[in-house]
Amino acid sequence: MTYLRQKKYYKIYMLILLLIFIFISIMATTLGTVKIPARDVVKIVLSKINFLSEKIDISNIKKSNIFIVLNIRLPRIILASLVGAVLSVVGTCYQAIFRNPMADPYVMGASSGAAFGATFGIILGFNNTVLGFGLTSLFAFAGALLTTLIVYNLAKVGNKISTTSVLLAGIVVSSLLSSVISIMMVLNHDELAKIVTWTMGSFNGANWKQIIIVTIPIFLGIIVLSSMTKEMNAVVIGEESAQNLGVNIELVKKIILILSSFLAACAVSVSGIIGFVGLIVPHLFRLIFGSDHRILIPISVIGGAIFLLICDTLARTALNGIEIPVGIITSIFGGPFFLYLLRKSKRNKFI
Amino acid sequence: MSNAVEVRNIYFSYGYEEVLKNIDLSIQEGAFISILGPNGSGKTTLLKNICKLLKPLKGEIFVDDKDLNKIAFKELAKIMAVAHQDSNVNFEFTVYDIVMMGRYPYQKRFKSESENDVKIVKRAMENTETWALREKSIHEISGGERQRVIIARALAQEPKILLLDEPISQLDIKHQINILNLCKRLNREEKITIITTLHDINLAARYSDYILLMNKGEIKAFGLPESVLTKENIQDVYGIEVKLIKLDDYKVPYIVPVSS
Repeated sequence: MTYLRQKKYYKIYMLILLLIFIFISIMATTLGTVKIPARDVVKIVLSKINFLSEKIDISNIKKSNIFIVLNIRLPRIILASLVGAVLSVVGTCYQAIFRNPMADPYVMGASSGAAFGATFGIILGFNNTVLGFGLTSLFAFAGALLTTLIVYNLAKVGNKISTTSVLLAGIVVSSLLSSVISIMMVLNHDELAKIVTWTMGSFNGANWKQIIIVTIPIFLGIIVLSSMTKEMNAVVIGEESAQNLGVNIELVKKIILILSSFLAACAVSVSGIIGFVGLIVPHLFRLIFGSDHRILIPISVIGGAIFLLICDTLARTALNGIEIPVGIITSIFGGPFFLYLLRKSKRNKFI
Repeated sequence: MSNAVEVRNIYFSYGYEEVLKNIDLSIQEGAFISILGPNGSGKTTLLKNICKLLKPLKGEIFVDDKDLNKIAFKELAKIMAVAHQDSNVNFEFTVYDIVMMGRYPYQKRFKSESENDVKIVKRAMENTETWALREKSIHEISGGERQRVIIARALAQEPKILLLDEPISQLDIKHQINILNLCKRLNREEKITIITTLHDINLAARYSDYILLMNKGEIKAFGLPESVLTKENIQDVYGIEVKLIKLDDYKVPYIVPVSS
């Protein structure tokens, strides 16, 4: 379907996804070791909204439940949704810019850079927190950003960036860092468990301060990226054609690469390495809605949030008392689901 | 009449090897120009210099009487459109969406297509006989159709100048004629200056007002087809012996290689 015809339904899709997201958020808040009724969850949340606070009576809800909802489950749900949104938007952007369906948010080395930083932080044994972030997170953030900067500069020739060079430099730098991490792990046996757990990703330590700090850059980043969807469409058709259509291709590539890497660094520093989301979610929606980024980007935001929220809820509730690293859930459930879609779309075009 | 494109003594090289040497050239508004020459003679490189994909080492290029260096990409796209050789697209787009991308230089950020955009796209597609394909995916259509779609997108830019890089090299004879007829019609009816690289000497001779013959990065000859496509010039440039056959209906002779 052409974009103009699809546009009519586009608001409806968005609305449906948004409703699904709200519904799943509420359901996710009710679940956990303590079951809290959905009605109470809604009441607690609404009571926090200024102009509604007087009309809603939460005096008959247990204090401990209010605490669990507001300080444990909600921050975690919001953080998981934010990270999910970021990972899938960044994945979509990278796949467009690299014109390569295999690209994911970590192609420029954000994951190995973050893992390197985190490993360093863990080994140094800092337990301080700054503004709600553990020092491990800050180290991870710095590592991710530094690595992508290095990869970016390695791939730059003069004033131009070759996307193939970015991909190659990303792979090489990543595997280099992975080896360094392995050495560090061998030399610091006691911290092995901590490092491994961090690399598998978790939203265990989510808190409001973290959310407030990461929300602002994520929000701005996503808005700027959403303003460049026409350019992404043009790039996908071919860089030379795009330039002759009037797209300032080098500038567009730079902005998208830098913003995306920054967002990926934000995400990975609060959550650890969560694979698959940034690869699968964009493809999933591309199979359903086509390649037009004017639709794909906004849908990826909500879709990514929904996907990771479901995965994280499974991660913390599937096994009684034990938390499964969310990165494992995304692959275990995401992988087969994606393969199923891929098979289906090959046989008869999906939708 | 003023010049659509003026190339003043440009040099270009990839690394050490000089690909363009002292190219000096004026192309009149409204002309149909074919660039001929063997592989590696610098045809495509010249085209890419003219459309600002490559920057000459020395020399200047003027498009529509403006210094190419001083025209922003968006402004250039309103004057000049380029139909590149077919590139593989990994992503799904409908033909209509592809043509609509031609309106990019006229659109504002966050704004969607205006009624005017829709009107111009429809006209461009009718003009290139691609309107019937509009709902199809770009992967579902044939090579000839895709070439027409790419030209439709170029037309949607409402250009004064249309550059084509070997538009017919992958097509059968029927589609070759079809595309060249389309270019000719756009040239005559819409007054669009056409600059195209071609491999087929005879088709180039039949369709173009002027022919630019290139050899090893230099201009061998530039002028009317019958004055450029002489036995000596072709032998010099391509290194093959040819026969010129005079045909009754055409003022340009037909060129056939002599087999030894």
